[in-house]
Amino acid sequence: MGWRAMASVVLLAAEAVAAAGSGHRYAIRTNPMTCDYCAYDLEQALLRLPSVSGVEIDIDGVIYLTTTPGHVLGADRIKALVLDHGFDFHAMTEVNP
Amino acid sequence: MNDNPTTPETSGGLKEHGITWLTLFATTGTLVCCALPIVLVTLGLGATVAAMTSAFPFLIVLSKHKAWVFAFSGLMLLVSAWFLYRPGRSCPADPRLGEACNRVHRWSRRIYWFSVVLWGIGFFAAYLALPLRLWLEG
Repeated sequence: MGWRAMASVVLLAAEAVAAAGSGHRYAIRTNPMTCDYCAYDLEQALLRLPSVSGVEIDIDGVIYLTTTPGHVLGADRIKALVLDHGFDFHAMTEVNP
Repeated sequence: MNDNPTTPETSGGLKEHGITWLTLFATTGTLVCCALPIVLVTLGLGATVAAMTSAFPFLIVLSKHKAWVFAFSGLMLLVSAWFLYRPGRSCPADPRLGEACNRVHRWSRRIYWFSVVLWGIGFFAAYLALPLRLWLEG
């Protein structure tokens, strides 16, 4: 095996490890979050989910969620949490980390 | 004897009463924009809040400009307080008009203090509840 082939294998392996090691990132669109207290409560509830490693809230109505490696989030659970905290759930899409 | 109850004294009382009602209306806005969502979410009625904000988008506008809502209603409270407790305020000497004037004044004071309580609750919910919670959580 030549050095080029070896380098390709190493690169592919590194990419595979990186893909497996990073979680998914989602953007959840809601109505504008005008209730700070409710938004904080929602952030805490999302962080309590075992598969969630990070939450960023944009008060204009976007929540960015990062999951722990290997976990995928279902929209139903997130939708229920968003509604329980007084916000409308518009959409949930996966975005690049 | 003047049978018309709208003398300068009583019309002043009615004006003060009108301002007190306007103040109550303004302070109710602070409650609706800022305290009600927290109370409903805490009671597990978040879906109700979501439905309300969808049905009445002005609630979002009200919350976004809450500083102005509080400033305006606070100003209205000050104006009402001045009308109610200004020096030299008097009622007509005529017993019937005097009684009517006193009754209006009594109700104005009740509504005024009720408005103060509403404003206080709204202010606590909008500006103090979250910092207090963060402080309690360390």
